[in-house]
Amino acid sequence: MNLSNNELDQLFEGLRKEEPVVSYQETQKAFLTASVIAAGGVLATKGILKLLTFKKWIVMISILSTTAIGTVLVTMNAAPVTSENETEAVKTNTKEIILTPEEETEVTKEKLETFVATFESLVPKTKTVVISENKAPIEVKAYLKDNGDYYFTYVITSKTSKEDLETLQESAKKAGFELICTPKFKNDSLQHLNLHIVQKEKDGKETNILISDIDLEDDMEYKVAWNVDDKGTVTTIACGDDFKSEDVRDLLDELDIAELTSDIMRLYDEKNFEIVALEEGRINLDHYQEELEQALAILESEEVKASLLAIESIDSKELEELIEGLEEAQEDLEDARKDLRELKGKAKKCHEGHEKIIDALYEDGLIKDKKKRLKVKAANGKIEVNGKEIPKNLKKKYAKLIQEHFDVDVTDSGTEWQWSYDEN
Amino acid sequence: MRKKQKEFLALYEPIHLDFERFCRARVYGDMEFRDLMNETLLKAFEKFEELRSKEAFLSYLLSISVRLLANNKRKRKEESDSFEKIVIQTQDVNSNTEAKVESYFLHKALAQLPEEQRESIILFEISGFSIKEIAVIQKTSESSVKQRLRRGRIRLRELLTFEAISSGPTEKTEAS
Repeated sequence: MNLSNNELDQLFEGLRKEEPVVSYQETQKAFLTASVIAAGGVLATKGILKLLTFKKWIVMISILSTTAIGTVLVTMNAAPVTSENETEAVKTNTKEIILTPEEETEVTKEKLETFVATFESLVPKTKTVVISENKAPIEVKAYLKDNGDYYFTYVITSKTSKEDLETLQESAKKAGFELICTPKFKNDSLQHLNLHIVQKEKDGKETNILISDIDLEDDMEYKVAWNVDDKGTVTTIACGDDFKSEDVRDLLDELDIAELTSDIMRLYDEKNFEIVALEEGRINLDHYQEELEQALAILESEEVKASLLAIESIDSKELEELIEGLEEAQEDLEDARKDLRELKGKAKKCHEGHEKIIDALYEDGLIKDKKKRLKVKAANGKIEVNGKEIPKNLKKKYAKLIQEHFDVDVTDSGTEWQWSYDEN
Repeated sequence: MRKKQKEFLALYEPIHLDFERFCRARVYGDMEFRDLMNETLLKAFEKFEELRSKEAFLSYLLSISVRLLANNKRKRKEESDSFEKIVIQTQDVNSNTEAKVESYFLHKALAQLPEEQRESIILFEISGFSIKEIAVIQKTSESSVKQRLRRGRIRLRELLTFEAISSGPTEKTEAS
């Protein structure tokens, strides 16, 4: 008679209450180890991610600089420039027709001079501008000091209203310069803002200088600030964003390349681990080498160093530490790169060894297909290939090959060793 | 430990028992269940951003396991023709308590069911999923799941009756 449904249910009930064979802790450990390997080893979890963060940060500097420096554009004619593709258009240095949204009239403008920053030009710039015929020129800076040492500071965000901008213009007028705001609002939210100041030249000609061309997204803040003399007349104008030296320091603290290097070395020292990982293609050395080289190239860049040197908010001691940190990072990365080269050589040798053994097994008729999965096992002084013991006359030959390529003495009866190979 | 790993493990810990039981029962006598667990967790971690509901984490993991097993099925078949058969379960039933013996026979009987049937039974009887949920995990219709459950139970009752009569004190199971 068959088991009843009730009895089967009871068996399932027992199974549902059964204690696990593998604990959570064991699974956690296995998962963490596997995720490190899957991601490409210690490099991926510690080093490269930090390097990438650093790289992104450097790129951020360049973007920031592009916003701040690149917006010091000079255009002829007094009419404000509103084209979204201003920067691109300026580069071409040609005449073009644009429409101003407020007046809906066609305005011809000619670009004469540009200060568009590129990645190669990271150093924050200043532009000397004459805002009044009878007064000395003033400096317009493309960044702000991080100590906030300005008499007037206006913070512009997406919440800035038309009235706020009018107040800003009024304030500028009182300080003796003309500030033209060309905003774009969407649902009462400020989306884009062009700011121009007007330069008055001796021959009476006026030039609009674009000091900002910014998209205001989410929580982005953009500042316009100036200092005035005793008479309340503007002396310097700054626009852009604060450059905080603490950010640089925090980043360097995080970028512990010495630790990364020691991790790499420890990884290499763990015998067989890296070989297995290499065999299985879980560590892509080319990828790491490429990333390390990219990071190194950025760190080595004179432009990056120069841009950091040009930041007034970093004092000389901080700067020295910063440069020192960058140089140390360079050295560590060089070391890491050398290590990777060594490991590559080791992996190549290892692969060649595997091929030698497989060729020999094939020639001796111990395997019929070089591409099929292979398992070589040695225990109690015996060597087995795919579960079959190899002939005694070949034992010495394979013991020698295994010794040579795996550094394992299988002639010792106490040795237990196993090697699996699957080309796929 | 990185933030993403922490978040992932925090979701995993409460469902570890259920997941472990599923994997153990699902691949019993066929492959090492720890491998399935690890492989599933890695895959799930890799696609963690795609997880839509944290409450459905267990069924998310099980869906991945089911897919992995289906993908590996053909490969394993090919390999079994050329590769040695490995003894992967050795159990001395005399050394176990009654509950363990019952568990052993039930696992062994489950292992003899066709894969989809076995999976449906485990998900329903052990993991406690509804027929509707199983249909989603197995990417099939609810009526197919019902049929698998009905047939699976009948077959299990036959197998377990047979086991109780015929099994000796020591059992070995070989991969097929």
